Amino acid sequence: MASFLVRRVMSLIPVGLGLSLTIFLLIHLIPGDPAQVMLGIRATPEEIARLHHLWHLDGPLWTQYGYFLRRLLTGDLGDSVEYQMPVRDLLNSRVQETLLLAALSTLLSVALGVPLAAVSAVKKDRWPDHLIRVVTLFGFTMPSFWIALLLMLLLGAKLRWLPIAGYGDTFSDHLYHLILPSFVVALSVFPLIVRTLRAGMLEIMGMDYVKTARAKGLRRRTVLFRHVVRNALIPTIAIVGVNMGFLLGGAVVIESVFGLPGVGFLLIDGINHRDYPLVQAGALVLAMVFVVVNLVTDITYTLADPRIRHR
Amino acid sequence: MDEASAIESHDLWDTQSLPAPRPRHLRLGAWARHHVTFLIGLSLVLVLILLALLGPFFTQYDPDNGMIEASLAAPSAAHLFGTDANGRDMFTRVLYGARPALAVSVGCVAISLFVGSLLGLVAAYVGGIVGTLIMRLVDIVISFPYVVLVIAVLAVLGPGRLSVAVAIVAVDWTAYSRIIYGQVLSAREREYVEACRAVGASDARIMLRHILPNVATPALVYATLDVSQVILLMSALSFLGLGSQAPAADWGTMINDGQTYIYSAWWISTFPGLIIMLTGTSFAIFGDGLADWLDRRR
Repeated sequence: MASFLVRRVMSLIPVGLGLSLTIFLLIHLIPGDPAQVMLGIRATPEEIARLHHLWHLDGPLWTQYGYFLRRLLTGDLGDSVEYQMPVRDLLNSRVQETLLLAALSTLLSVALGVPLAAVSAVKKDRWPDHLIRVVTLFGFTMPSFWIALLLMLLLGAKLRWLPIAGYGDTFSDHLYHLILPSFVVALSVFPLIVRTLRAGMLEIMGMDYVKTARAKGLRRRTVLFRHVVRNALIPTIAIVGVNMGFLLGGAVVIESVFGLPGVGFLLIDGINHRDYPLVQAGALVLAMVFVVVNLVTDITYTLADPRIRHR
Repeated sequence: MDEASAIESHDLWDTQSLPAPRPRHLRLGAWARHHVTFLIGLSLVLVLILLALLGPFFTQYDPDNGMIEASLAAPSAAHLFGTDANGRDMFTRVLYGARPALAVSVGCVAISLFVGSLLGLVAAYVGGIVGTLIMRLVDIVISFPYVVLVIAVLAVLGPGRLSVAVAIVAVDWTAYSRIIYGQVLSAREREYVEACRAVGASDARIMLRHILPNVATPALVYATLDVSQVILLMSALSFLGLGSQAPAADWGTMINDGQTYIYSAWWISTFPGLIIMLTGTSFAIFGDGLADWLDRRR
């Protein structure tokens, strides 16, 4: 187990190098002088010359990447052109919202997905199963930004139940403002959970130990909760981890719809203002969140299921 | 009569004693009953393609130039889906939006399928440094959240329909490489490949004529589902202002246009969203049906 943990954590190194290399090269794909690109159109020749010297832009590409990495490791992500402040400080103040949105969306999609998958599996090929499959199909193919607009119209403007924009000031206020956005993100993610988990539960329900449990006289309900659902919960962790990239992508779009001050909002904002340091750092932070969540789910998954023995 | 002679005397070609084959139309009926999902999905996709091709024949309005006096008109007999702020008929715009949506999404998926499968095939069959390089590249791409990487690539390319297509393909091909790679690794060791090699077939021939047809099914099924997701992503990018630019009739852009008027003119955003959902659903049902059908044939 210890060696698995070490190996799994060590695997972050090549992934981190790959991510940083991609982000580094993206800027060099933009036509023109990288210093000019990074500083924006209002940059003075002195500023450009300073950046050339600072980032060793006159050296070969691989030394530039070396200096880029060194800056990354010290947390220096450059200065935002639009906001005129270090990107690090900007992201520091915004990453909390994105993490909170992602966590709430995950909770909601599991809360929606697991019971629906259980009902769908138990009532296989009967009307509740058909209904759930149709609902999840629509959830899968529904544009999230569109349903967000409709829910803003219905729940926010017509019924006045929930706030439709902004983020509030206190923590509880934040949570209150995130109910609708995280519900919308969850709507597009829970179908993936239902689909995978339903198949998993059907497989478990056909296994011998479930038949044994029934044969020794346990009630259906007991077997379902003690044996089937409990065993199906472990794969749920993996499903959530695998779909975290999908969820984060949804969060980027939804933050823009609801005007939430998160990393995704900054990313889109950065593109619209050609603020490349912001885009670089925003994409890198979201990718790192994804990588770390995957690491955590992998480890949890292994700890939760004693049958898994990683070689 | 002993058993052996009984078998010998039995005429293997005596079709009279076998049950008569069912008439062709009954067999077709049974086939259709077993493949309801596939047929529904197929018809939905065909209807969409027809609408995209023949759309201009179903409407008398211009998709790009509206009548300002008819601005923000609610749905009526004259304007089935209402009009937008510029007085453009929304039904017409939704119809005209079908062509780019289908063409770009199917095009993106087709290219990703082709490039990704080829690279996955080469990586698994050839192996070595080439294989490692290809699969490491795949690993890097999938360690980004999909949408985030597409957006980052778009930041470099600038907004526009072509940029969106390039950005999507740049990320999407990896899914196919992964699928094909896994399949080929196991297929490579099978007897039929060994037999091909024994009779002196070239590597290219073995890969393309023998292995590829045997491993293509999962990638094809994934591709149909992928179309529905690519349509969603494209419309999301247009909605964010990173895709097609005005005045092009694009479903995502239309929803964005309607955002300003969502409280007074709900129809501008509602109908394009519905059609995106219907298109995605059609391809998803088609994909599910296709998977079912191919499963049964095995």
